[in-house]
Amino acid sequence: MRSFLAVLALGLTAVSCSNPAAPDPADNTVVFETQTFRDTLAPGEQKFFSFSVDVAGNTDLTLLSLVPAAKALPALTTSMAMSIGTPVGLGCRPLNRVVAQPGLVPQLTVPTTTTIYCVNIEDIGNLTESVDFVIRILHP
Amino acid sequence: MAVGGFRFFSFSTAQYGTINLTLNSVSGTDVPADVQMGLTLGRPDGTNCATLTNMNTQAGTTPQVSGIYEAGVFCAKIADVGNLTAPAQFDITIAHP
Repeated sequence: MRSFLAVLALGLTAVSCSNPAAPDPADNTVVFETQTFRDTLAPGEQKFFSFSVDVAGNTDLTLLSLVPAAKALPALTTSMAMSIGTPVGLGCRPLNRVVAQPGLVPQLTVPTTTTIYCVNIEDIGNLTESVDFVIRILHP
Repeated sequence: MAVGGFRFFSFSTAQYGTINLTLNSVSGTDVPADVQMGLTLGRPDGTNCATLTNMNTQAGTTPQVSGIYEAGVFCAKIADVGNLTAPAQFDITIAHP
């Protein structure tokens, strides 16, 4: 039996290698992509980052960290406005918005379709100095 | 726009058709009206506008960049390609379905 399994495994490997581009019709797995938006934000400022959703599904936005610019510490717990929207004109028109502190759990989860979205981060009056931020975008 | 800089403007189209970009004018102190600029039609991507089609061009009255695309989200971008020696103002017309 062990040798049969070995032969079968080799056979499957050979088949899969002979036609690597052939899709598996039974495979409905959605591949999620993680993108990172990291930049510096000054008091009163907002910035945005655009990304493409290839398959309909939920997109998670996580404001991971906020630290004083060009310093590693201390980690700040300042609340910021974060939104997902559509790139319009010179900015990002919000569709869903949340005011949240940095954390490891997504602060904003929204259903998205196949188009281009943007994530926007905005100081709502809490910053007293420039900060480095990191936002994780997990989308289908 | 600053020397060495770029700006982009995002817009959505409702249906398949032709998108035309016209760089109407570039102006400013010490900025020649016929200065060559980079003009791009693209897709918003990250903190920039990813190129679909582009060309270096001076201002004019007819579209310098065109493309035929399905409905979607696009951007028009103008960039200094090394010719500006002073900040410039610009005017671009975007025509789309």
